[in-house]
Amino acid sequence: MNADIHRKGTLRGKLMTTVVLTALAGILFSSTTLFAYQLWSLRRQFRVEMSALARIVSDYLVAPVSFGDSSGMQDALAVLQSRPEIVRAELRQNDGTVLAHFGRSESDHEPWASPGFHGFHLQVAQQLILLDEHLGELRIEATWRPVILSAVKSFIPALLAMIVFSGIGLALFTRYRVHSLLGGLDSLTSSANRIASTGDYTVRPPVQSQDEIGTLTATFNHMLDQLQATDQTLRRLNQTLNTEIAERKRLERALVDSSRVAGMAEVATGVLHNVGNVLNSINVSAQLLRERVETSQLQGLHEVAELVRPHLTDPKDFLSSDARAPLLLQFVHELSDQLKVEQKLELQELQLLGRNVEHVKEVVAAQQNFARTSGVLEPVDLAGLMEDALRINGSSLANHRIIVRRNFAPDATVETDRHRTLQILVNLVSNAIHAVKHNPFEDRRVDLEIRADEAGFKLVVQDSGVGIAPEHLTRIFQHGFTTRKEGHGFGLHSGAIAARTLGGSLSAESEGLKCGARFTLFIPRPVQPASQPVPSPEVPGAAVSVA
Amino acid sequence: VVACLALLFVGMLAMPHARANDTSLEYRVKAGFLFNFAKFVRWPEEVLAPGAPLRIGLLAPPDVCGTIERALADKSVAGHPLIVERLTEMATKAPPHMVFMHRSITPVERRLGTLANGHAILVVGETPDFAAEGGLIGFTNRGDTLRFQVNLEAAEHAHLQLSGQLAGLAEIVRPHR
Repeated sequence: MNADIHRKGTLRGKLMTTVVLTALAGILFSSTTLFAYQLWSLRRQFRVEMSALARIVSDYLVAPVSFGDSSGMQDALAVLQSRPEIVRAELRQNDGTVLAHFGRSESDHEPWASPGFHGFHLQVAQQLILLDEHLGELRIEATWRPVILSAVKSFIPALLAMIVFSGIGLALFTRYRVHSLLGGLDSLTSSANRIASTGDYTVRPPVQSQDEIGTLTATFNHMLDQLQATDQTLRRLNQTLNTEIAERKRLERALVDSSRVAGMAEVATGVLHNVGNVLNSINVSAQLLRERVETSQLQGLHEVAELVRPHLTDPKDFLSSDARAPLLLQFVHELSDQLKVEQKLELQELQLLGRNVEHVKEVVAAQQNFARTSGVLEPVDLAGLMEDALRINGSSLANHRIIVRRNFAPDATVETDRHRTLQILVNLVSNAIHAVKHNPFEDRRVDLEIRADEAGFKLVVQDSGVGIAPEHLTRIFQHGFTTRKEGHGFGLHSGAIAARTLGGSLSAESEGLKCGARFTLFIPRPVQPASQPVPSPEVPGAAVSVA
Repeated sequence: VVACLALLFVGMLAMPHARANDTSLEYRVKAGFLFNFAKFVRWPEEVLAPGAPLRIGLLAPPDVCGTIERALADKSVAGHPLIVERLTEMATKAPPHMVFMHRSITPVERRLGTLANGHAILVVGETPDFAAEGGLIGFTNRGDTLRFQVNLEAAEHAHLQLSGQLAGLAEIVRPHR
């Protein structure tokens, strides 16, 4: 409550309240102190007065006591009795005989105490001495309560009147002084409010005095000068900054557009790269089919048909009289077997062709998914996927007579994106083919390996090719970096991104040029028990991949 | 009150052979008054040097003189030892400082003139109007209380300084012309 009042009040009110209350408190304290001193003085004066009175009366009593004049003694005590503050008095001889006394109250018969103040009562003892002879003692008991009451009755109204008049005077004087003292502060406050509300830094409160407020006002004006200069500088900087921001936004938009175009180009490059690989297989299949159709045994069937054409009207005669008839039947039978074999081989090649076409569709669809969203996760047989990669690159493997060796861990199945993984493997196998195709025939080897452990699967494609220079080992995954003349630097880059998308990684190792290279695709799995890989025998690449 | 005062002064004066009759009591009381008069009166220094004996002369019958002598024996006032003398014995001596005249001494005026004669002598008597008739202090009875009258002119004439307290206690009288 007091804190709220202290916070909410105006400085003028606080100053006036403080000054008036402090002054009144000082007046009250001074008055009370003065009154206490007055009481103390009155008490001391009362004692002095009573002592003097006792001494005077005792001097007067010397003669009556000396001559045994009781009336003189009573006369002396009557003088004391005329004083209202004296409540009792007693004149006694040295032996304790009371010569005279008077009393006003019931305490009259109480024993006398030692001289001095006892509450509001004062007891005074005065010896009666004549020529060094003690004649007796005069005792007086007086109350100074009436003195106190009289003092209080005169003090309280005077104090109240002083407080009232002093308060009014102080309030008027303080109001005048506070107004004159705080005039500069009012001007300063109104100027600050105006600056705060309008932001106009040209406002300057006038300096009205040379005191602290005047110094404060001058300092405030100096600060305003600096603030105004800083404000102008800030405005210029803000304008420049806005211009820069607008230019930066324009550049960012351009950069975004460029990035979008680059992304689209990257996707298209990926599609073309993978589709190109599959198209090679499709082309091989088409050539093979064409060669088989060209070398088909259908020609033999056509010759049989030409042979039996003249005997269509009389087949019985031909079969019974012509010596070629039994041979013809044997030939037809063998031809039928040959055609059946041909049909089977062509059907297999057509199925391969169909799968390759399907893969093209899947590649396109996968790239579209890759460009848009992540692929669908499904259980994938990694060994079968590795074989698909070999099949996609089967024609190149066969053409270059590359030896492919397999070392696949059993039951290597993991839940992952099939097509994205296949793209990576196809790219790795294609790179391996390019790396070894100029080696001697016996040194054109590509080793495929699948390792399994608790963390996941490692699909390794290792070749005995040209190798990677150490300075290139850290750059081969960058977009656009390639060491081949016909390369475009996209395959490993997109493969690394795809591996990261799968939650795994793609790494490369090489001991240098002509030392071969080793690429490892790691695909993690939540919990899979590790199994030992089972080595497989060396198989010629063409025979295995195409079969 | 007189009885009380009597007892007071009996105790104060410590008379070893006090007699019980009224005459003795009266003059023992008056001896006490004479003793107190000496306290409230100041004599000129050339008449009563410091430490000098204060001589009291008695003009009274022998029994009264004896009572007073006994009452004031071995007393002193402000360093002045009291010496009580019978005036018949001091004809050739210096005048006393105080004289007590018994009521039987007549005529008073002549005696007073002879005695005082400008000397600093405190003359105390007990005849009626003793102070008004030229004496300095005269005893008088007020009811049952013994009081005294003072003639201030006589005191001034004798160069004696009476205490204001004594004057305040006494009845002031003027001398008869």
